Amino acid sequence: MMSLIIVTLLIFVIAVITSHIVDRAGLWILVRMLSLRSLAMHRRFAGGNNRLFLHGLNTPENCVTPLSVADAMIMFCVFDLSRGPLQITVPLPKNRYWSITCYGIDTTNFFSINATNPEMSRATTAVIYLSHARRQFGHQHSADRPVNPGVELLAAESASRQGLVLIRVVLNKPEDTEEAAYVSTALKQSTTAIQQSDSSTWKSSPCTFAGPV
Amino acid sequence: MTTFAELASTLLKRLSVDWRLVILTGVAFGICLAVSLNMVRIWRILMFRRPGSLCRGVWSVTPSDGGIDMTPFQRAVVAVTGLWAMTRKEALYFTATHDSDGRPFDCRESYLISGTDLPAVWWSVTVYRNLYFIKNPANRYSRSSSNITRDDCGRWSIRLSGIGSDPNGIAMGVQQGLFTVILRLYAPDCRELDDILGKLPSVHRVDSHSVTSDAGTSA
Repeated sequence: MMSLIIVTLLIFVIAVITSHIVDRAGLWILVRMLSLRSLAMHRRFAGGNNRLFLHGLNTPENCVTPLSVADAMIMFCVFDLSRGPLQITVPLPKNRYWSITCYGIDTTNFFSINATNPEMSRATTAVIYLSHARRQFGHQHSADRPVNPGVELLAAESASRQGLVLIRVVLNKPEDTEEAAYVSTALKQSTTAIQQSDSSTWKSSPCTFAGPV
Repeated sequence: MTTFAELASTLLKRLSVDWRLVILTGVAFGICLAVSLNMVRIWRILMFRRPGSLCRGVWSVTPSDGGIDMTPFQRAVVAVTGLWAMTRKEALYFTATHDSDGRPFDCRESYLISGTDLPAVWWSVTVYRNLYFIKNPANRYSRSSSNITRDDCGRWSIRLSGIGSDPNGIAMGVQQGLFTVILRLYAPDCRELDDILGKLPSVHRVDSHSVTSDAGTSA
């Protein structure tokens, strides 16, 4: 009788530990699988890592992500910080809502800035300095001082080396081609720059886009 | 851990029980337990609501979406249903899958979503079927605070119907099936979450005749 109780207890302990590990591991794998698949799709559009791509308005034909926003001009960049920090420069369209958000591989939105932030009220260009940190602190801060008048330098730290930067610019009338052209012309001036191994120079890449947006 | 393993091993030897069998049984039970647990969680989401979500009327919202404090299961749900969600500070996503009478949204029916402006910098109402936009001739998948027509009192009504020809209409095409409505609030006033919940629009099923007659008055 005693042996039966001990064996049952052991089986129960092993079952609980296994269940916990399987549960966490399963969810971890699922999130990373979906996240990596999405990053691969975004990367295919952009033509590689650390490159900005002006996706334009989401439509049933070009939609990359489920439950996407329909009224916003979308620009994205799949980042890979394994070779060093990345700098993203985005001209900010006036008189409309915009947001710049960065996500880690585990889908955490670890950095975000939008048109309503007081520090961005006078900014005409946002420069995001994206670097890798061992832990996710979830904070964001403006770097010490603006580089040039109107340029706001922001620092973001990612716990994962890979992730996604999404830039959304809301259009008042998505069907208005003139408005879309005005916003896309501004966004096409965006660039990314990767810090080179000598730490003093940056290799810059222009924003890419597919056809008229 | 080693001490526990040694102790268990000694104990099993004394009881003349095969330790491999005990471990295998434990692992098998553990896997079954994890699978059952997740099936129950999925069933709860399908039948009731997501963990950590708030419900008001037909709308439900999960304020922790996109945040660092999401549980592994919440993270998985976000990854499946809407990757790259923004945090509560940036955006709130209210989801509705049924009308005010509890009937699931059906593309063959017409619906009226009515309300007033919401405490956010920008908001929009978008319709999805199977997580993606519904193709329609007008290429109009949503209505937003920047392009919706309001009446003199600031009220607005969005009509969801097959054709969607009304000024504030969204067409759902001719295909059959269930759909989902998402109300997005960008830069919401998060201090006033209760206020937001109190201002959420109503969603009613209407017949096509009342939709047509409403079109002239509310827009």
